[in-house]
Amino acid sequence: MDRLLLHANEIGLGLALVAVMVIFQTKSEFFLTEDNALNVGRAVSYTGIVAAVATLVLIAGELDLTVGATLAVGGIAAAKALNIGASPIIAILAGMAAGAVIGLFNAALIVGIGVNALIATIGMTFVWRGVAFIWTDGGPVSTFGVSWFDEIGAGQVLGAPTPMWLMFVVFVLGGFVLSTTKFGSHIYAIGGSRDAARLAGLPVWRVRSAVYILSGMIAGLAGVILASSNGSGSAPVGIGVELTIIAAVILGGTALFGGRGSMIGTFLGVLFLGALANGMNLVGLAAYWQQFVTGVALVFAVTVDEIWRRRITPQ
Amino acid sequence: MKTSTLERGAVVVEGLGLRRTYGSIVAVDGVDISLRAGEITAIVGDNGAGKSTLVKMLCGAVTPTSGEVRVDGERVVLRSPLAARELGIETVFQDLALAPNRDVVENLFLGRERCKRGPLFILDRPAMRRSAHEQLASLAINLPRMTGIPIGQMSGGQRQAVSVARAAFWASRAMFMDEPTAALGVRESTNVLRLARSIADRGLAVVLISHILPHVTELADRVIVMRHGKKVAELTDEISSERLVSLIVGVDAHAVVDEGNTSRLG
Repeated sequence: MDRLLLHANEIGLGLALVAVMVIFQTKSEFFLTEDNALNVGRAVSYTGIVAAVATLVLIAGELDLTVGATLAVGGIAAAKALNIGASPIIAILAGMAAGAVIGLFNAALIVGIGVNALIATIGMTFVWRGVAFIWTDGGPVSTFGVSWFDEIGAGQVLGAPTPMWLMFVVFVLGGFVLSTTKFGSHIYAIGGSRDAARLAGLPVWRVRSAVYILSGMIAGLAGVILASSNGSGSAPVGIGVELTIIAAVILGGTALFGGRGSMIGTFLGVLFLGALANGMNLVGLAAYWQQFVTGVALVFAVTVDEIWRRRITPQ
Repeated sequence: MKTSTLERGAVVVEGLGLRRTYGSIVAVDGVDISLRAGEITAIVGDNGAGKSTLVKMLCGAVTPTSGEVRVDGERVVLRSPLAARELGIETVFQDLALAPNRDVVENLFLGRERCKRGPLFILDRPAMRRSAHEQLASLAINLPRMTGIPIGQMSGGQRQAVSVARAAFWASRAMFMDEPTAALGVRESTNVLRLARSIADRGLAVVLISHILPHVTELADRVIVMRHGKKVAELTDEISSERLVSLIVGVDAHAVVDEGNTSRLG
């Protein structure tokens, strides 16, 4: 695989992250403090968890924009389960199962029937967001006070927020799957050339379907964590977050059309966008500027990547 | 690496009365073909003569409308290239079946990765690397880097060598090559043809579809000439470009019948 390219990408992004940190540290003495680092960790954990799996999706040459709506549906499913007396474990599984169902619908449309992934998941985003509003009648479904459920999103382990640890776990597992397992190897091969993979006898539709179901399941889990942290599941959470997630993945060097990418890259991408948002808040930049700067960073990264790639590839 | 235990000259794969129609068009019209261990069989013919369809029926990519395929004398139904592969019949697709972003070792094992024991399907990279080195060395294929470089950054000849090596690696009965040299330069073509010979010498039946008649006359032990979906001649000696051309275009075909060898007029 693209060892050299990946390294260059990751190093570039790592340097950019350091630069951002140095700049903000000179502007705000609070930036490089333990508390603030944990703030960033907590803030990026939901998007980070989803971005880790979105990396698999994009490397496989697929696209799942329903993750934002899945966040809402997963959280609501967990909250509803708690309200009918389920234990936290069952609630978590309910959220993941709801996400898996969304993934299954995506897989059926995109892999089964052959609908374009962009169109299918835009359409399904409306569908599931609609389901979330209908299901809750627009209001929040409380999750407060049920056993240890609150601990998932609001608790701490070894002095750091639990969601941050969960994000680390998902990234490590994702990296492990991608770089050491047969499934990971197939994801790269299918994303690089679906026809070649089919001719070589790879179980193409099985891998593609698995990727969508996994994406839904983990987005559902992130929704559960978010609901726990908010104290409720509600329909309007995570609107538009799918674009931030894809931005982080692409920033980390994953190709939008598949075949190339890494977990470390996405992790750095998530941290970079998180540090950028946090730093701009600390120095008091208006939210309008945050959007602007994030956009510039993304466009700059893909432009540099494109030019550099063209220079080193033959033909 | 699998080596064939078949006796040289034994029929390993045969097609009997193979016929394939697409609507009203008859692509292949009742062809009998026998592929023998240790032999290179070339299939020649003009565009649309039915060469590729014939080969695809033998390697599982196309199902015959009628007729049957036999492997080691037993009737088989090849529903997919995968089914053929399980019987030790491999096909070299023109550069198309390689994953461009993966390295040589990963491509050699694409779809047949070796995994460590356990439920997680963790790749056994060292084992794959070792046997890839052995396989390429035994075929005298030299590549600059086996790992770490995507195969898309290699030359067409190197990629084709990997394709052929992969097919040879897994084939235990027959290997089909459809225009293996079409996109290659002279030296690279020579290398691929040398590979075809060394694979046949291991006791496999090798089938070559080619438009390049000098390659055919130089390499093939047996040539099957197709015209309008029918087999019009099967030659095992006195294979010359002139003779093949006249058979392919259909002039002087009666002379071949008069010679009374194995050829027939469709």
